[in-house]
Amino acid sequence: MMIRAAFALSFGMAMVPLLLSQATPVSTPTISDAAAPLAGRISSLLPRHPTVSLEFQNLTALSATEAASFRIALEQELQKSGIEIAATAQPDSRLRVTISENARGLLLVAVIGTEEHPQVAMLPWNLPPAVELKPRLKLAMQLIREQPEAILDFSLLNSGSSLLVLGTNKVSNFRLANGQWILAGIANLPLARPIPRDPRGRIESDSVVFHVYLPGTTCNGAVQPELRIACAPANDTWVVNARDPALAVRWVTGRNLLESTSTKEPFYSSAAGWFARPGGRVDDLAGDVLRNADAWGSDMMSIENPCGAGWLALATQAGDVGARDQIQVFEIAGGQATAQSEPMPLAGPVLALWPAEAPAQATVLVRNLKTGNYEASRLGLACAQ
Amino acid sequence: MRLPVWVWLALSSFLVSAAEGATRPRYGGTLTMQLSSPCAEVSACDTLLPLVAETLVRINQQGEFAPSLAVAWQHDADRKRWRFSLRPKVVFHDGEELNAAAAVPALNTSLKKIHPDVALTAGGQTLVIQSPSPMPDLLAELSRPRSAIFRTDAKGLLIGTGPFRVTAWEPSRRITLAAFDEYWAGRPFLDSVIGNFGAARALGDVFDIPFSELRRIVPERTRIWSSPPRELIALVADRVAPEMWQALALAIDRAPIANVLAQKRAEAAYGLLPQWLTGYEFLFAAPPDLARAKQLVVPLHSTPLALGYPADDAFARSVAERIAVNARDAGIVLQPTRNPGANIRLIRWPLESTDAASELVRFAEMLGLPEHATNLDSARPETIYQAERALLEAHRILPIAYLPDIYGIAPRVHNWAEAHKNGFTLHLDNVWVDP
Repeated sequence: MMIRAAFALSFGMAMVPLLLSQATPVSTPTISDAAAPLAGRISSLLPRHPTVSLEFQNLTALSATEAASFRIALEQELQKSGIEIAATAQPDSRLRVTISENARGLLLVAVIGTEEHPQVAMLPWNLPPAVELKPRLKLAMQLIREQPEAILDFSLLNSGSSLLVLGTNKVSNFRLANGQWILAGIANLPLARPIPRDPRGRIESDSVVFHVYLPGTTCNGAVQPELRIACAPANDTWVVNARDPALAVRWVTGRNLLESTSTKEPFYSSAAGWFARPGGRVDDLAGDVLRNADAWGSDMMSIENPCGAGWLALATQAGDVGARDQIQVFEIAGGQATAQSEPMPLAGPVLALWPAEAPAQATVLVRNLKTGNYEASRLGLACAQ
Repeated sequence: MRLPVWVWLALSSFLVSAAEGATRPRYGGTLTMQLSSPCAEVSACDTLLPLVAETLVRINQQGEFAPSLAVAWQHDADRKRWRFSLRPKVVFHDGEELNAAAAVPALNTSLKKIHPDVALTAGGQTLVIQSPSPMPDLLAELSRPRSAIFRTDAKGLLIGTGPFRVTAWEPSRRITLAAFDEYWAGRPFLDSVIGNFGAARALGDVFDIPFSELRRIVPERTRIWSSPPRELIALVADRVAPEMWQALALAIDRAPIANVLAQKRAEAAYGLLPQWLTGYEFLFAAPPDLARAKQLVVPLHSTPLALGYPADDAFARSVAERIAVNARDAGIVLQPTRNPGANIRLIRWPLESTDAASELVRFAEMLGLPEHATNLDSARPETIYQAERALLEAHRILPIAYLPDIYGIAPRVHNWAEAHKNGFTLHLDNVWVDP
C-alpha cells in the first residue's frame, strides 16, 4: 500500500528520531532464559553427576512451541550442570518439571524423587509483555511515550525535541537526546481539590508557556528558564479544536465532563458540531441525534482530511472502560456518519483523544491492558492510493 | 482440567464487558445490592467496611503490599519498630484531617488483640508502631479490614476516609451509603449505594448467589460473575487417628462435589490455598483410592464418627452427606449432624487476601499450629509450599473444594470486575450504572 509523501511530511518529520531509536533490535527475554537458573536450583538438590528421567507439563496458556523451547533449553542447562537425562531412572531420580502460574506470574516447579518424599525447587518468572502489532492501513499511530503512571495529555514542543506530559498530579518536561526522552524537570500540580475518578485533563503550549485545564483547577506555567507552574481553583475555557473555533469548553468540577455556553447539556467530547453525551447519545446543538453513531464511544474529535477538502471525525468504540478499544475515521454529512477507514484496534481503552498541534493529527492516550502502562501516541491519517 | 489464571480473568472480563454502553464511565445513580450474608455491625462486616473505611496498607492483585493510607513504611532489622508515613490531604467524612494521632485509637484497638504489648506513637503524619517482640506479619495485619481506621459519631454511624460515607444504617437489614466528594482518590462514580442484607433474593442491581441457591432462576439479561476460587471447604479435626485421616482422604471423591453439588462452579481442592494463588497446588493432587483406604481402615476397628456441618448451610449439608457416602464405601461410618461437638467438622474458610503467606498464617492459627507457618517469604514460594505441606501432614485439615463468589449483575451495571480487583474486598468506587 502506498502512503502519500504528504503524510510522511506532516506526521513523520518530528518522529524520525523516535522511529530510528525504536528500530534498534533489542533481545527480548523469553521463558527459555529461565532454564539456567532453574537448572541451578535443581542441581543443588541432587548428588554429583546424577542420572534423572525428565517429565514435563505445562499448566499455563504458554504456547506448545514456547514450552518445547523451554524444555530443550532446560535439558541443555541440566547437562551443563553434569546431570545426565535418561529415558527411565529409579523412582527417587524422577525429575518432574511443570510450567505453572500464580497470582504473581509464571512459576516453574521442579519435583525430584518420590511423591512421599519429594524435593521441590521453584522459580518465579515474569515474562515481558508481548509486543503489539501496529496497524497498517489509513490510520497510522506513533508511540511517543509509555509509562506506568497515568498520562492525561501531552504536548510536543520545539519541533518535537521537547515533550510536556500532563499526569494526574504533575507536569513533566522531557527533552530528546539520542532518541531517548530525558527528564528535564517536574512541576507538581497544587490541585484545588481531588482530581475526579476517570481523570481527564488538557495541556496546551507553545515553546515558552503552557496552560493546564483540569476539572476544578486551571494552571499556567512556563518551560523556560525552568519548569514552573501556578494553579487556581477555577475552570477556565479553551478552544477544543481548530475546526470549531467558536466552541469554548471547560471542565465540570469534580466530573469527567465538559460544558460550554453553546450547549445546555454537558458532554464528554465534540467533533464537527456534534457532542458525545453521557448515556452514549451523539447529538448536535439542536438535539438531533447523529445517525449511524450508535456504536461510538465517548471520545471523538475533528481531524483535517489529508486527502481532500474539509474535516473528518475520529471516534472510539462503545464498550466498557476495561476493554480494548478501537478508533475509526468517519465522514459526517446530512446528519449521518459514514465510515472512511477500517477500525484501528488498540491495546486497551482510549483514555483521551485530543487534537494535536497539527490539524491532521490527534493525540491518543491508551492504557495497555497487557502491560498496564499508559501509552501516549500521535495518530495521523494517510490516504491509500 | 483446572482453569488457569488467565482464563478466570478473561472469563470475568468477557462477562462484564459484554454489555453495550459508552466507553467513558458515567457519574451518578444508585446501586442496589442484595447480600445474603447478615451484617449486624458495619465495622464487623468485611464486605462493606472497605467502602467506608480504609487501612494503612493494602494487598494488590499480585499479592504484594501496596500503599493505601500510608504512602511509605520502614522497619528495623528485628521488625519490632515500624515507621509509617501517612498520606497527606486525606480527610474523614466529617472533615477532620487524617494524621497519625487520628489513626492511633482505631489501630490501638485492633493491634492489641494480636500484639498486647504494642505501643503507638504519633507525630504529625508519622506513625511509629513498636513492640518488645518482632512483628513480621504487621503489614498483613494492617491490610485486613479489621485494621481499618475509623471512629463513630454520636449516632453510632461509622466515620472513615473511604469513598462512601454512611447516611443510614439499620442493623442486619439495610445500609445506605453516599459518595464522599472529598475522597482523596477521587469521588466514586455512583451517587449512592443501598445494601439489603440477610436474604438470598435475585433483586436489585447486584445480588450474591449462595451455593445453596445455584439452581435459582435469575432475571432475564442478568450476567453471572464468578470470582476466582476464594473459599475452601474442608474437614477439620484434632483427635482423629492419622491412619483414619489418611483413609478418609483417599476415600473422598471430590469430582462429584465440584461438578454435581456445586454445578461445576467449584474446583476440587487438595491444598489449602488454590492453584491460581500459589501455582503449586497441583503438587498435592491425589486421586481417590478406595482399595487403599479400606486397607488402612481394617486394622483400626473404627467406631462411628460424627461429622458436623454449619446448621444453616444447605450446601455444606449436601457436601457432608456426600462425604459420608464415600466414607461408608471405605468402611468408615460418618454421621452428618448439625449438633456441635462432632469429632470432625466441615468448615467453610474464606480467604481474605491474595497474599499466600499471610493466608497460610491464618490457616496455621485456625488449626492451632502457628509454629508451622513461620519464616514465610512470598518471594520464595518453596517456603510457603513447605509450610503448607507441613500443615497438611499434621492430619488436622482435609481440603475438599474451592468455591468462588458468584454474583448476578444487572445489565446497567458496568465495571464490576474492578470491584474485586484489589484482592478480595469489595471496591465500588469504579463501578458505574446506566440511568
